[in-house]
Amino acid sequence: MPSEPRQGPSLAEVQALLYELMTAPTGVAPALAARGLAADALDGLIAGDQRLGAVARLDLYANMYFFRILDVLREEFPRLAAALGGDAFHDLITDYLLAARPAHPSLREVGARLPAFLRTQAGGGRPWLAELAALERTHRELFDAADADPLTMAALQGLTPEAFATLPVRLIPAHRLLGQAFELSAVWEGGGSPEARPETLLVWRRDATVHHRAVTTAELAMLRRAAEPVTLADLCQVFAGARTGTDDEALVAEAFQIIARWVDDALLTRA
Amino acid sequence: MRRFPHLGHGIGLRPPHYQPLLQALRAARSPLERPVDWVEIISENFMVEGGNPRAVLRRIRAEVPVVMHGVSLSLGSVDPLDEQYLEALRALARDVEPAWISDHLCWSSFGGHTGHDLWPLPFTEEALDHVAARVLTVQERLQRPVLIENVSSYLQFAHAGITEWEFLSALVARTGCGLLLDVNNVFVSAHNHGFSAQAFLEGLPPDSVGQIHLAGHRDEGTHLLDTHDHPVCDGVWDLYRAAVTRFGGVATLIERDEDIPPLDEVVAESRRARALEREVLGALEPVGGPTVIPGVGARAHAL
Repeated sequence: MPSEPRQGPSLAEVQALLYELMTAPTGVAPALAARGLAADALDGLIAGDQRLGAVARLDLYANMYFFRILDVLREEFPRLAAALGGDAFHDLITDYLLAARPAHPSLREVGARLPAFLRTQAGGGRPWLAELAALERTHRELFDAADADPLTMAALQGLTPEAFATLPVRLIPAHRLLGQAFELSAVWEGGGSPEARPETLLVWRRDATVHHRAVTTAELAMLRRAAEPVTLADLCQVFAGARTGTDDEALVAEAFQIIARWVDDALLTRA
Repeated sequence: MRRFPHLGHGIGLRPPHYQPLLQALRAARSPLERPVDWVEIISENFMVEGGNPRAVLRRIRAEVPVVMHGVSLSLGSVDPLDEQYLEALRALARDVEPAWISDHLCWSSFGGHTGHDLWPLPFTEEALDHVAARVLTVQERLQRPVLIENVSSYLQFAHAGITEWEFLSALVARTGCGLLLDVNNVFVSAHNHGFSAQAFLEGLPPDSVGQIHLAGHRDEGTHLLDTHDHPVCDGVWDLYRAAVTRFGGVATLIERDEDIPPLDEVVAESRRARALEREVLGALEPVGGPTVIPGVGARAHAL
């Protein structure tokens, strides 16, 4: 090396100071002041020039840190951002990054804790915001969840009645059940206010697109059972157990309708 | 044989181009008709279990070589190397069989937290010792030499006693790694810090560069900002010409991450890079197509 090593802070000292200043929500100068340091405290560490001083140079990184993550989260939670408005969403993310500093190497995970964080916030009298965030996050997570070969109607039609009844199946991995206290369809479609009406949403991926819909109590019982390997005959029994007061033939017909819908939705795979 | 084969000219694989690129690759009747010779992926975007990104990658990989470019090794951080991340990188490499794996000369994590940025290092002996040890560990884990990229930077440290190109050269000598020379980053950092971009190129070992990045940036008045949202500018093309003159034919990639234009526009820039390389090397050495290396080219079957 052509130059002699110069005296300076250690690598660990540099990174500790810069990390604190670059991730401070106030920007670099106020963060320096909060540490009791003068505005020119960085001049001996960072080489500035007449175009940009040391603080201004570090502020570039501070802004990139926050706005890169803000952009990613605005893209991942568009309905939450729209419901809150730009300024409130900005403030929410500022608080979120202080409470839940990113710790995963992938930006995909930076919003993973936002729904839980929202549950701890007052939410301006809108407790459904956390549920909306959870639904948007679930869509994101299922977009690239594990693949599975879906069962097709053609494959089922080729089975004998006995083989059909005893065929072991289960739900594809790219599905989730979300219990909600609010009915969110209006706000999901871009208008209106959610009503306080408990429901369970089935969220799943078909091909490259993630969908969701509300399910009935009886279908929910079947879905929970189909999270593990189960035969189609057992699924019909689960349905019957959840729906009393109907004759057997009608129950079986209803159960088959649900199973046919699952197959149409590419929700079932061989276990 | 070169340590890092000249794959030809490629582009970064981005979601808006998934389908048009796949269609164009499949429509090509010969390698010469392909819109690109190879593609580069951002490793972290494909460290997922399934879905469309992995499906598209499998199909693209069946057509052309793929290079894995990461942003999260955090080679310069004083935090321990992230073993879970390294394992995920290894698993992805087993699946993709990339021509090579690259990451950046920077730090991006501290205290167990990530910044999702490429923060600059002080170019000191201490930092060199630290980064070199970590590059050796990574290469051992991945069982291959890696390429290290110079980043765009907006600040330099007053106590740095080494230039960036001296730091990179020493890193190559100590670890056997290669360099991913980002010509746009050299251009941006040279402007922001007032050093000579040509001196940067001349300071690197001639046989160390395995890949080149070309990209666009924005002039913010007080500084240049590496945004990847513009076409490659004339100054960067000129510097690329100087790089080809010094390093010869090197696998070259167009990076575009924001305001992504239609595929044809990015491919046109890639073809411009190919034409410029041929123009320079035509006068210096024989020019052929991309080097064909067994196990590196397109695969006969999708993953």
